[in-house]
Amino acid sequence: MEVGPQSPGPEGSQRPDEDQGLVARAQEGDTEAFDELVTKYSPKLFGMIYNMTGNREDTHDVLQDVFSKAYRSIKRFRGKSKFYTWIYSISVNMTLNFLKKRGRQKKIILEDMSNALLKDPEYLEMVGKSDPIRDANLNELQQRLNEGMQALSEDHRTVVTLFDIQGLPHAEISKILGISQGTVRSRLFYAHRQLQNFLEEFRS
Amino acid sequence: MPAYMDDEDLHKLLRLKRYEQPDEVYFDGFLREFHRRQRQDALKRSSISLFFERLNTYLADPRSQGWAYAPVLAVFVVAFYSIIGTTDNAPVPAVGMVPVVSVAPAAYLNSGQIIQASWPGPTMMMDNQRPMRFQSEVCVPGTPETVFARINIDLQPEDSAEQEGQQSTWQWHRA
Repeated sequence: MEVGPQSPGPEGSQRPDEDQGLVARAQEGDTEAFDELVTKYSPKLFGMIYNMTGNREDTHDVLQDVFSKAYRSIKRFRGKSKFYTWIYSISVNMTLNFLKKRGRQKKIILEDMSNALLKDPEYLEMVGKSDPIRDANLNELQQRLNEGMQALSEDHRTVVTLFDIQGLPHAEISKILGISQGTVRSRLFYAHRQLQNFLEEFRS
Repeated sequence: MPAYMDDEDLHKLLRLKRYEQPDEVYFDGFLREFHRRQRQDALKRSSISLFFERLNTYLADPRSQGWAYAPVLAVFVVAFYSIIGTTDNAPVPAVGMVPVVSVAPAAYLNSGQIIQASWPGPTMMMDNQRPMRFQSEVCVPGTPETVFARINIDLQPEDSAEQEGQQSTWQWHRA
């Protein structure tokens, strides 16, 4: 399966909840409906948690716990927010709790790139001139970016993951994290500055 | 790439990280493991915690509000007893009164749901020859918006040939 960008996008936040039917069935006890929600959201949430933890095994365990918690709680989900906002909130909170417990002792091992990357227009543009040295630099740049991400505070890494990588709009991030949109923008601004400085040091 | 990485370049570089994903085989296995963990979880948890979780879930379901009447009714019968005891000044014949120790066997409330109720309080004296009716508002807890309902309850002795001093059971239902 090639997992590409599937984020709801800014326009998606105004639409009715597309998961309403599945959620209603899951609340009735239909386990297949819940399985569909797991299948739909596990790639997105995997990406989010993975970029927060930087570790595949940890991501796997946290994601399992996220869906277990969602399964136990789905009957209490009243639809005041969209399902994806709800499940993202659970994921972010559980990941942040996990990171607090884990501390910073684990080495980052972000390295898996889907083959879909090779078809991405932005990637093709970046390596457009197909220079092996340039490719090597891009890979190194990605490595350096991973290190930069892990050097960010958890709050800053969360907003960068949700906005830049997951493609969620400010309004949704604000709902997921329970902070104002101004705070989201402010955290993004400082996180970007930090990452730019980190990468500039590498490039120079 | 330009010498200085601006916001747009950084955003593009970060966007590439969305491809840091395992393949489809991983997610198939993920779902299987989720099922396995669910089964293990169900086995590990004690029957008491399961009972409370299920009770909580059931009471949170608007369609199961009928069950919420059960504890309310216990309080309700106590209230009825105290009203009878304080406001009924008519002379009560000693003969024919029996202590009621249970309210049984069932009540039909809220779309035909059957509720078993028991009499937990002090013995209530009622005339075993005469059916009785009382009415009250009950408050149904466990719902986002508190629900009030006015119900009539008819009490009739199951066996009108009860003898004085014997315990009696009474059948009650929603009028």
